[in-house]
Amino acid sequence: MMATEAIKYIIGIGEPLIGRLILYEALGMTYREMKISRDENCPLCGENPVITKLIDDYDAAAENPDTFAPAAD
Amino acid sequence: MKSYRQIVEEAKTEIPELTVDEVKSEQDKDSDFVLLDVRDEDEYRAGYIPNAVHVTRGMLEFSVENYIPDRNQKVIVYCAAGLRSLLAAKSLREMGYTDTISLAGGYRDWMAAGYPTAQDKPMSHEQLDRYSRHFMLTEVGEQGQAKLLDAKVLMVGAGGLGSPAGVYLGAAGVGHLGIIDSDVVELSNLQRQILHRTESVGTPKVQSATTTIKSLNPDIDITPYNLRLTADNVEEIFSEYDLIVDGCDNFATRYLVNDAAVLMNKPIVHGSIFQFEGQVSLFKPHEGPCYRCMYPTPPPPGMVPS
Repeated sequence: MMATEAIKYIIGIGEPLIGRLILYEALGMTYREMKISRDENCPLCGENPVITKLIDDYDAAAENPDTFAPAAD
Repeated sequence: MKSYRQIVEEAKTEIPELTVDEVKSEQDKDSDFVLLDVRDEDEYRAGYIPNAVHVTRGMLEFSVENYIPDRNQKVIVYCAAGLRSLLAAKSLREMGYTDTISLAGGYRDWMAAGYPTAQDKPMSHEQLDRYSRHFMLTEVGEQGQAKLLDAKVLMVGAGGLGSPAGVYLGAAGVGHLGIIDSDVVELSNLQRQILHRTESVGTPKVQSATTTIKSLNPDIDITPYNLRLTADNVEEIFSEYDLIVDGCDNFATRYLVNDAAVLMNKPIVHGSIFQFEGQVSLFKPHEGPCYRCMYPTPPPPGMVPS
């Protein structure tokens, strides 16, 4: 599915999965589609982003989610 | 019984024609029309009018709707000299296309006038054979294959998610594949990570992935990165690629990939999986959500099994 999505995007055909999340569950063999939308308060791609550069150490930040934003200058 | 001349003369009474100068000036004015090339594959390969849609005269009725769904769209049809295009434009009228025009003099006059032409990178005989099943899909065709061969895709992770993605992307002829992973192949990987083989246990995953994909398709370039993606190397690596396929297995890398891709405006094919459940999406920065729109920060450590 990831490869199909990449190929569609590269060629520019079909409906890309932008704004949609496909959930696949193998035991029930079900696919669900969830609409996902941009968050205007997103710390990264929102209207007033607080993350404007990369965090120095993502490994350390992953251990402590409260600090999962760039270090202050 | 009608002769070929009679058929052409009849078509001329029904189908308006434009000269190459008139079509060029329409193009320069940015008028709303589709230019349709109905010549054969080998003629098209030798060169075409930029932005033309290509459907051979033989396949016209079968596949034109895939390219031009709107029957009221103005369509200017051309062929080599302006005869097949007249007949094609007439067939389109019979199919309900309301505004079809034939380019008088066709590609021959277009070239003679010195107007710009385009040509796809020529494919070798082997490529024409290898990708021939793509050409049967009208949505892909030789133009789509040329885009794949020109594409630069970075796979983050050569594990459970990266394996099927890498196999298919390589086989399909994505021309430049980067693969980044710092792990070595373990026996317990092999039950699902189909890029790797038993004899590769203990060797770097990127090396084993490169060998597998190259043997599937020697036609593509692969750049292996046997290292971990970090804030220090991500920008240099991402800058080489148009699209990121994120099949990583940890939150630190997932957030790093997302942040760097948004900051550098690169789309991500996102995938993740846990036991029997998987999810997939496409994050296109500023056109749709990013990973942080859904999950601004990762869950506390220990909350999520790996």
